[in-house]
Amino acid sequence: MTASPATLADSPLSDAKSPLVELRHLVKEFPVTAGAVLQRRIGSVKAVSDVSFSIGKGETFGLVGESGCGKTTVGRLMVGLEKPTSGELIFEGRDIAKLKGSERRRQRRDLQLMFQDPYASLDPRMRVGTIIKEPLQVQNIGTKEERTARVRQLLSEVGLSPKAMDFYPHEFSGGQRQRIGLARALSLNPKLIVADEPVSALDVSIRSQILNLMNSLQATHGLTYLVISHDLSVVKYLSDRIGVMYLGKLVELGPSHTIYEQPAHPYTLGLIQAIPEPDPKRERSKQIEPIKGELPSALNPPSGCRFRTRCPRAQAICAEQEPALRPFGSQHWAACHFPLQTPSAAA
Amino acid sequence: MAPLLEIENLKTYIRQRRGEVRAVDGVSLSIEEGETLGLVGESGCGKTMTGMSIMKLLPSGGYIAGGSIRLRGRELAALPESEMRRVRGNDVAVIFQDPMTSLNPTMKVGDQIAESVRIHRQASKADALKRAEEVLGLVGMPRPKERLSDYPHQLSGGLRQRVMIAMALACDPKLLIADEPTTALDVTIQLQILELLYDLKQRLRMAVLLITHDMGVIAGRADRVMVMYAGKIVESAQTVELFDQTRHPYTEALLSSIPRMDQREDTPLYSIPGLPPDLSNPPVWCRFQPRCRYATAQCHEEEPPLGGETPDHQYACFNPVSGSFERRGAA
Repeated sequence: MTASPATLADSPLSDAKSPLVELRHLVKEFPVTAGAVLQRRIGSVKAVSDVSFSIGKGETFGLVGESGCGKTTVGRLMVGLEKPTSGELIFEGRDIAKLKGSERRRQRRDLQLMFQDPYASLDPRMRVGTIIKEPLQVQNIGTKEERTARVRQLLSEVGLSPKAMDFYPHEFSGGQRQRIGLARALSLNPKLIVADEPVSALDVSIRSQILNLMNSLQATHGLTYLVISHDLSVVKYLSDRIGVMYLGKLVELGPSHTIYEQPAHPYTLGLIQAIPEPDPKRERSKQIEPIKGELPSALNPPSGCRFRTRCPRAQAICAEQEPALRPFGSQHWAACHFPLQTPSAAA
Repeated sequence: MAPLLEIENLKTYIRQRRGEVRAVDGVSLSIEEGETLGLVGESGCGKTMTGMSIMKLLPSGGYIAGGSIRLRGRELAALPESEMRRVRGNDVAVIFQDPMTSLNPTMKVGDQIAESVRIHRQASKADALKRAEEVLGLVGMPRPKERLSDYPHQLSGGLRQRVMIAMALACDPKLLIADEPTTALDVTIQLQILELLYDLKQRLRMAVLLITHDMGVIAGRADRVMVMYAGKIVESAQTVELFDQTRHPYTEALLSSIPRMDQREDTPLYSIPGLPPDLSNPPVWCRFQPRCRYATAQCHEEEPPLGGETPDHQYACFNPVSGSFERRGAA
């Protein structure tokens, strides 16, 4: 059983200065079926398994982890593409997961998604202008002329010529398509944008264009970002604070430079050490203990700490008791029985 | 000692409806026995086509328009397919980026490895399966005998990549072409696979042509590096030298655009404006010129030849970057 924090002050939920959104004990469970005809339910996967954190207004929060960790599901829960199995999603003081109908539709404007794959996320049969205009039409905002003017404005904000509105997605490069995706995400003037793998599908030298653009748009519009990526260097570059996920759980949370310089969780350290750096001398002198083994089955995760099967520090207690998030200094939390540094005194 | 592989002025073109794409347009390189040569560049630069030319596994419309490919002194460019089949697997093998699309989903893993042995070595089924088990053990597969009857979809990405490496090594090739071998894998699994490849290449005295866009992977694993852009080699050097004494503006720009873990977040990253040229109609002058911050009039008139102060560090540029590489902010 997870030891739940007693008060808000004992949990990462109190970290954000003026929280825009709070995830409280969020759980998303997906049923797993077998058999082509009868579809018997053989179990379920808790893609997101009791995750809590908050994001402050104007902040960039990065969520990082490898396959199956649940980070994409968290993003989808945030924008309402999935409904939580349990837990609360508090946005500006209201639990938006419980909203229905027109209230929910109106609230959707505030949280928008920038998709991962610039090649698959734009309808190839729609002109760019229509793609960007669509959210405004769905939400019934503005007149036809106002919408067109807005599209022109958005296109130039993301560094594209307003003429782009008349062209089709396939006529643009990957980097340009990602800009179109950003323009669409901005069209409803959202307060928060969830960027799921914003640059992974792009060539290396194009990524910096999008990263720089995201930063400058944030400054202009006072945006809040949730950046989701498996690429820790991208996440670190963009984010103020980072959350590390493993198999549905948040295992470490803290300011970007703290996570990089003083990780407390062995998985975070393993992740950082595994990243190949463009620096031959450092790469060749690295003395690291690579994380062994494979990711365990999400259908049947290990008891206690889910990382224990691959952890060099695991002991008996790790199989018996799931570690709770403990504080390690200002805004720094990790869930581990044998962390890499001494935790702070209990609150 | 003569190099294991010598490519001289290779030209690989692809006939398409819109014209002929000059994917590899005059590339020369050599790899010594046991050496790891990194071939780095972004999409469309021709690095994959170079690797595929060595294996003579070109897409439809693709052909070798000129140049020579010599493996242990033997010319491959004009070799008929029947002979090439014996070269593949035995002398040179390849592993690709996405094992899920490269492995046959309807065949058991053991049978796929065994098939490779039977085709290239003409072994019996029993012997081939025995070799399959042996080679699965070599690549660190847990419980190799049981794995022989697994299907690819039953394995994780990392294990599938081990199967692909096992298939490639089954016939003891002297040269392994690894085309983006870890790009599709989780970073912790990537490290395992890169360590495995390093370990295998040491033990088997195997040369590796490591094709990737990832400068971090190159930094850690390549002995020498060649940077490709728009079908040509633009810079070539020992790895440490390439990062420390970068000469070509494209290499410099590439390195400046990568977010590094140790940098301060508030410096904007350099981004290269524009796009690479259309290779169905490439310019006769420097192909990087429109995007280069150091370009001069000469760069718009002639193509810079590969040259350098020493044969070990070559670059194709009229206005090379000098001094040690320092991260530059946005221009």
